[in-house]
Amino acid sequence: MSYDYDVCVIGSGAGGGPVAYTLAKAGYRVLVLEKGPWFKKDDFFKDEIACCRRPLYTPTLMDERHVIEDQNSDGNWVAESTYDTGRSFWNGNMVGGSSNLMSGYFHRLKPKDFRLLSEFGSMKGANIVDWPIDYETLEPYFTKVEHEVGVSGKVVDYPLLEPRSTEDFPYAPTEEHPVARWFDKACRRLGFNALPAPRAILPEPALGRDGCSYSGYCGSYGCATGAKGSSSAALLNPAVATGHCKVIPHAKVFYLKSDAKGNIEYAEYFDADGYRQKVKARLFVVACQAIESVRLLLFSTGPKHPGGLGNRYGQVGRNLLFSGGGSGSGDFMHNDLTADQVQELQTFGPFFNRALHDWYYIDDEPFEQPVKGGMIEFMFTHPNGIRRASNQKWSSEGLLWGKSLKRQLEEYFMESSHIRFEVFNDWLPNDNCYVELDHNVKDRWGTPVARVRVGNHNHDLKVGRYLADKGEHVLREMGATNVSSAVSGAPPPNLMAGGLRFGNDPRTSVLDKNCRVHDVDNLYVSDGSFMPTGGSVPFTWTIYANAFRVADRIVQHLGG
Amino acid sequence: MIKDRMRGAGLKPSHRNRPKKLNVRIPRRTFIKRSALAGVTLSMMPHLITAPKRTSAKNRYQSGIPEGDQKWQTLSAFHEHIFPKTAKSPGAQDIHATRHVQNILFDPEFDPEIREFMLNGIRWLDESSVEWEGQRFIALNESQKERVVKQITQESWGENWVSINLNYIFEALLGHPHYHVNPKGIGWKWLKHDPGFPQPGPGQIFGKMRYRPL
Repeated sequence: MSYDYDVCVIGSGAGGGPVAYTLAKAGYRVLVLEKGPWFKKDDFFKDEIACCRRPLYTPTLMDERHVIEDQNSDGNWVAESTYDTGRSFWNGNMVGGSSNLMSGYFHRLKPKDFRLLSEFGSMKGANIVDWPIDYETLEPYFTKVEHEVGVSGKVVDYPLLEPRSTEDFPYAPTEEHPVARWFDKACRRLGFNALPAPRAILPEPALGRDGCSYSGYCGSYGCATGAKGSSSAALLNPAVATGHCKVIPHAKVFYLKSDAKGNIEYAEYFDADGYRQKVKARLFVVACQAIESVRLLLFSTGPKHPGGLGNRYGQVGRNLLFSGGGSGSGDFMHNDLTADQVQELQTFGPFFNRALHDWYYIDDEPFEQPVKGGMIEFMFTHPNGIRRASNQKWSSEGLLWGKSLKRQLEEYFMESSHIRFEVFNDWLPNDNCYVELDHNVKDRWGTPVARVRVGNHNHDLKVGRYLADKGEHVLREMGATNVSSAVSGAPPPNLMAGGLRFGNDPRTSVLDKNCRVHDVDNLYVSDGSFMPTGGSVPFTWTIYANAFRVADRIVQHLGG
Repeated sequence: MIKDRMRGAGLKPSHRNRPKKLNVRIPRRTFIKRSALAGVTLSMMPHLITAPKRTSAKNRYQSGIPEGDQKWQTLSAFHEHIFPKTAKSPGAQDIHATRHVQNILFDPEFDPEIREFMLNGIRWLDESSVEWEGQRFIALNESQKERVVKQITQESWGENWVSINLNYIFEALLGHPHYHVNPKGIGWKWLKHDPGFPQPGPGQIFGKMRYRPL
């Protein structure tokens, strides 16, 4: 059989980039098919309307939508299209995926994350399992990401520091905001271990990319300098430069054709003009982000896969994960501070970069036995002006308008500063969080959309509340007023994983430990959908690391 | 990582002082209809039910609005009432808020159901004014306008319609001047807002840059 390419990678984000990069550098012919457009760094501007209020980086919900099943107050599951609710579940759909828009807070998983069942036991209503690999297996790839993608930071010794094969990060920390010192002092007084948060951001030019320009905006925006370690800047551009990798944007893969043996013959996609195209490759890699990867496998039925690829035991789509937790904030009223303090608060550009891991494992009330906890990330409120203004239109009595609204805006923008935190804890896998196809709702190409049930386990809320209380404590110690927080079971759509969990038993997993689909010799999955449990840190570093690991296995598969 | 990124999936909303309400996006089923107001018929105000003209993509973000169209005058008066000019701050007219809403609604790719709701809202505002104060909104004094706005925000459609208009006013206040809003950065200056860099050129704003090829 003749092949167009050695490897066809479907999706170009944090899961696809490492595979394309590794294989292209190894000399294999690689094709990357990406549904969205290809924006280069010169296309990224600080334009809040374009970035964050219009569908520039995502499809319109008229064209492409999801159906979300949520539980109402009566306990019934109610399905609504995101077109009807307006609540988009898309992230960055473009070359480089949502890694273009990440803030780049990078934290490693810890060893116990790989054996949650063994360490903490089972829990009713939760499908907790151990991973088929351990931390030591993934550690070299966490390190590889530090060097190849570019992670800046400083290792600080503390009781829960993950084992490292290198002494420190390869890149010095990004420039630090002066108020980070306030945080450090508050934590010292409280006996907490203030940690400088590693960032996938280059502080200085390196790896053929420019350093950070400290524009004051990072998350939600594409990086105009290439300092942010997006899949496109860090991996795809170098992959293309090898001459062995081609990226086709606006290529929506909708079907993987399998033969009588169950192996993939070709991928079928709609091109930019809406025409169906086919591509043959020796091996295929799916990395469309968890929900869409599940959707593609379920839709790709074949003679040996009547229920979808890898779905012999009905596992495809089960145990979808999000990040559990919540967020909180506090105000610093300028009238209560010295002129020097206000000047420090109003410093614009450098990063706050502080996190707490002290309660990654909790042995404390109100829990009766040790439980898995999580981490807290601290930051200034995002500088997006329109968004911040919109948040001021509500008072406790309802909408504000007129002069009272304008006064509120002046107070919020000019007379106070605002620090917030985000809690990350495990979203326990459960039977009410899964993906299936909705054959009654189609996208603009006529294929069924993903229907997603987004149930969470109540234990997640207890852990989130415990952590949020700690976050509030720190803000108060720093001198903040109006400190509050909220913990919710609402899924953050930009923090998803699972649905195609890896494992050793095909009856309870979709992928083997190398992330090859059970029953399909030439199909791998390299995005975050492999994760059987999510850990309590943002997923991106883990996805990058595992995708580098999978890429090495694919190189072996292809003959080295 | 910012949870629930700011495109609606944007920042996880601040929970402080904020009831669970809508953002820019709109759940259609819940509020795009409004019960009829007794005693007021559309035939009394035929100018308010004119269907919006569709324009080509080339004409989006135009810098002028037609003169003499009463529904836009009504909306402009409403915008100026809920976002008035003060000695220190720009008002809705200064930041071209009504023109901004018009540009959004006339964008051929704008959701037609939301367009209909936004235009219906202008009509319902006037109907409410006639019912409660005896005159169209534009003819009311400030106290009467305030009473009408307070009353419509007690209704589901009204609260959502006002809320969405405020979102668009904030876009006009703090969006990039290339969208024909916030002239010379007047809104940024008022709130001492740093918009970051690099800023887009005229051909690099939304509409000129696209997710989908034409």
